[in-house]
Amino acid sequence: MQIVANSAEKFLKPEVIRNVSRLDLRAKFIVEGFLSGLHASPFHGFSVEFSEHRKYSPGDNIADIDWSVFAKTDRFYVKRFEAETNLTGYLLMDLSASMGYTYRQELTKFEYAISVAAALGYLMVQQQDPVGLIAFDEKVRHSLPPKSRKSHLANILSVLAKLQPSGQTDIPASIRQIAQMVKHRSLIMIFTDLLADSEPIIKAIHRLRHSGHEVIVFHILDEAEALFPFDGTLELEDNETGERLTVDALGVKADYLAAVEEFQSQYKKDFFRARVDYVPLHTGMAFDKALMGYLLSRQRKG
Amino acid sequence: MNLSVVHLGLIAGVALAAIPVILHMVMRQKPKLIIFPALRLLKARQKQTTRRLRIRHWALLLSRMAVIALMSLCLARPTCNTTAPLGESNVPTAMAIVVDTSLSMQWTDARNRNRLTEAKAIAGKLVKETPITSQVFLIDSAEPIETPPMSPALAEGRIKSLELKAANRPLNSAIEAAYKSVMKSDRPRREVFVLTDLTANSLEPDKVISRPQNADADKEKANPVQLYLLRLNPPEPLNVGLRNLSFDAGSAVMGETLDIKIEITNQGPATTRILELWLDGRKREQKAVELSANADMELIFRTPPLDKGRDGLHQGEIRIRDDDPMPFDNTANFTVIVRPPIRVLVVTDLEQDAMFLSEALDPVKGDNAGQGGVSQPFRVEVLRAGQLEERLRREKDRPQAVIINNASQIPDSIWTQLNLAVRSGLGVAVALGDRSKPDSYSGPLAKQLLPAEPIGRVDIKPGEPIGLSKPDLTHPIFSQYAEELRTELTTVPVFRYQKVAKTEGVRELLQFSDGQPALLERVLDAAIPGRVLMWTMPLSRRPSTNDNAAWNDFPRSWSFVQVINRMVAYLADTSNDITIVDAGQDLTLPFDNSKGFNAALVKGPGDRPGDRRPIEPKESRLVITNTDLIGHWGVAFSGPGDVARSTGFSVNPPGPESQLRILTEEQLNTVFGKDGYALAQDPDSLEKAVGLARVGVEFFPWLMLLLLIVLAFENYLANKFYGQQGDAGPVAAKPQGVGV
Repeated sequence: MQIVANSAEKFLKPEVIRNVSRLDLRAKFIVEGFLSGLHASPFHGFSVEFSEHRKYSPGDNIADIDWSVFAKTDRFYVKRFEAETNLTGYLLMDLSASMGYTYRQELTKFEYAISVAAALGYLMVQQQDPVGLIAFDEKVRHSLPPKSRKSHLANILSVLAKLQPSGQTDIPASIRQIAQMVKHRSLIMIFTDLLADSEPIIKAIHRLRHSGHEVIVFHILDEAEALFPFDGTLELEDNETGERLTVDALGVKADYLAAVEEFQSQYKKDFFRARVDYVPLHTGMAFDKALMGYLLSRQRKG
Repeated sequence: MNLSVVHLGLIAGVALAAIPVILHMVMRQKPKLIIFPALRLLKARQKQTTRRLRIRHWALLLSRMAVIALMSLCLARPTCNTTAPLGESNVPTAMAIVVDTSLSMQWTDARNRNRLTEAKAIAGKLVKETPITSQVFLIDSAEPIETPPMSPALAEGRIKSLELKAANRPLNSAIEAAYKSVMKSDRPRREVFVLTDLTANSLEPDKVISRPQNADADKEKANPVQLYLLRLNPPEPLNVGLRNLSFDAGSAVMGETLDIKIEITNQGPATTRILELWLDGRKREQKAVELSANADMELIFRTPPLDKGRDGLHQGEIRIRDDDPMPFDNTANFTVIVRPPIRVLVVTDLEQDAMFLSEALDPVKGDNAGQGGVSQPFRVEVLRAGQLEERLRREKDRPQAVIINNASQIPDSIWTQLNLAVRSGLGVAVALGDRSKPDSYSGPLAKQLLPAEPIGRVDIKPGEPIGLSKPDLTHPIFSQYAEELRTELTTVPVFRYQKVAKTEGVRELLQFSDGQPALLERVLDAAIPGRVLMWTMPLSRRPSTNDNAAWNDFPRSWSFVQVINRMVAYLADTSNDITIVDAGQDLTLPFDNSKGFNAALVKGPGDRPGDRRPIEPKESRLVITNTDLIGHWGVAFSGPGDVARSTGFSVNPPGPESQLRILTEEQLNTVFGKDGYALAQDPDSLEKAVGLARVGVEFFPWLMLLLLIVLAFENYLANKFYGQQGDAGPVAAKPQGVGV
């Protein structure tokens, strides 16, 4: 069993999941890998299909006994967790050109984002939570309304697989537009690299919060952007704006990392104040951190 | 400073340093292009980054240029301060060696080697190491003359025979002689070595040593004479020495004691020394002296009453009993020639006018002389003017000085007599008072003798006496206790004085405070210069200032005794009674040739034979120039039959030789010019200085070291820039490869 679990957990690694070309399988593998690692964690029972039963022991609530299992097995099993909420989720995908970047990782930021999004979509559909998809750059480009049918997951994955990051993005405007589109209280999961002016983005997300939505920001940077593993003299080009800058990599590394730290801290601080979950990720990290961010938010809601 | 290289063309290789610049221009490597969406985070620091990058680029370029330039320089093998063809040790050399043989070189170290021994050893080594075709010029500082060249082998022997010489000279002349000697030589390399302790006395610090100019100025510039100074000064100059021995009194009188002053100089920490007075070969007194650190002090010894001895000659020493590193100044020699008391005739009309002079000069009176420890150098006879002529004619007890005080009339016969006597050595002082009749002192005969002519009496306003001022402190009468005298004399009240008209060429020794002369001197031109003094006031006083004869209160002042004593000693010319001279100084020895000496034997201390001199019949002074041995000298005059007389003198080391303070670098620069010499502190540094001048400084090792450092720096920089860079192509966003 342990071997199985280990083999499932390997799909949490981006370099492994890269080899799985079908996005539905990716989503399934990631979620299974994640859940197999969760057995020892406090997040038990966050699904309907994979919920656990255990033998009744004195002191347990009798109301928790699953009588249908008793009918089949003639033994008392306690149904500890069962999804009861009906939370609507939206996967918001940033289509900016910068998302299509990686320096040396298996997945670009966007590929990483859609892998995580697919896994979360899979997870939510499995829990019978309706999930929708919105992709935006300077405005909303694609959208799928939230549904909880399993067939809907195929639609979502299909759209995700076809998305291509290109051109410039206007995150605040897009979010404002989305805020108008989403009427009911929902869980909004934004997948973006946040490489734009921070103040309008924060304001827009605040607006989402004021509309009563739960927001999780998956801030995805490339591993190279997060760790700056360069050396020597470089000419760096911003693929969105075309700007270039010649730098001595070792000379600016410390300054750059400090800037990244400051950049992330700023978001973290502001989002924390607005009770927005902020999950900083980079393409070298395993997927479980992203899923954990979701679960933590889900738990708070539950 | 000369700079030379193996080949000038190699220096041109420095131009190759331009290669990295060209390569930099031509093959400038483009930085690797990388797509980096998070560029906005870097932009804030763009300025700083760009500047840092530019500095590194320049540093790399410069270090590469430096590597090439340094490699070229290394190949060129630059050397400094050398005349390359003469760098070899076997080049024939004109080598002048100046050895300081002054007494300060006697300083002896713990190994019992004095500075001269050290200097001789070093000179010997220098000579031994020079090629046999070299010419050596050995110059003793005591004999600073050009010397003929000698072979190194001969010079080695001569060096061994060098010894300390008391009569020495500053090295300036010896070094100039050395320059002249080597300039005449045709040897390709010319060097002057000066071996000295460089104490303050060894050089005249204000006298610039000029190098003689060679006719061929270019050749001289290309191959200058090198001067090396080797300073052999003691590491710790400790010394206690005696110097400046002198006598408190102007003359030594038979049967009297004599006070001897001596200066003790201490260079080093505080110490105690025992000093001894030796006279005529016997120790007479000793004193323990506590000396402060690095300080001088003065001490007075008193001799026992001096007897007639042999022709009045006494010789003695003051000695420091303990030895120290410099023994020559532990003894100070002196010679005293005693004479009978000076006979002074005081000529007055009244007894009271002689009283104060007599008391000042001869307080104990005649036969009781020498009793009670009171020095009694004078015998006073009081006379009337009428008695003077007869007294001057008398052969027995001839006076050495006559004082005419307030005498009314001096007949022409006396003036004649005095004229003759003054030209034979008699000293005369005339003091004018109320009784002195101007006519008596202004006649033609008196004018021949006196320094001034009285022209009228001046009465100062009653109750407002004037004082005495402006004593000539350089004159022997006032030179002792000069400052005290100057103060005291201003307080002497003067009520009246005689105004005078000065004779041409007289010296004014003292004034009244109104500017009129109080004391005048006239020196008569004769074989023995006759000394005549004139006071324009009497050398006596009256109890009441209302008395017409009361002209001043000078006799009541202590300065009266001092001035009168010094005046009579001066008139009697006793200055030559005591004969002490520093080594090397000339000495003039006066003698009474009335007995007709025809020869003198001058004999110094030690075994050196005496110097016999012929004496002319009228000769009365013997000039001695070769006072080169420290100690007691004897002079024996001889004449026909048994006529003979002995006298003597003492020679002491020059006082400054005791001072071990060394010359400063500024002083050496003044004497030799800033770049005109190489100074070495010991034989090793001398060898280095010689090597520096002959071979020069090789820059090769330093250039190699620098090259390695620059190379390492260049490598480090280059690695930083290019070490871990891969392909220069841009990395773009990867294409999407995801399907459902």
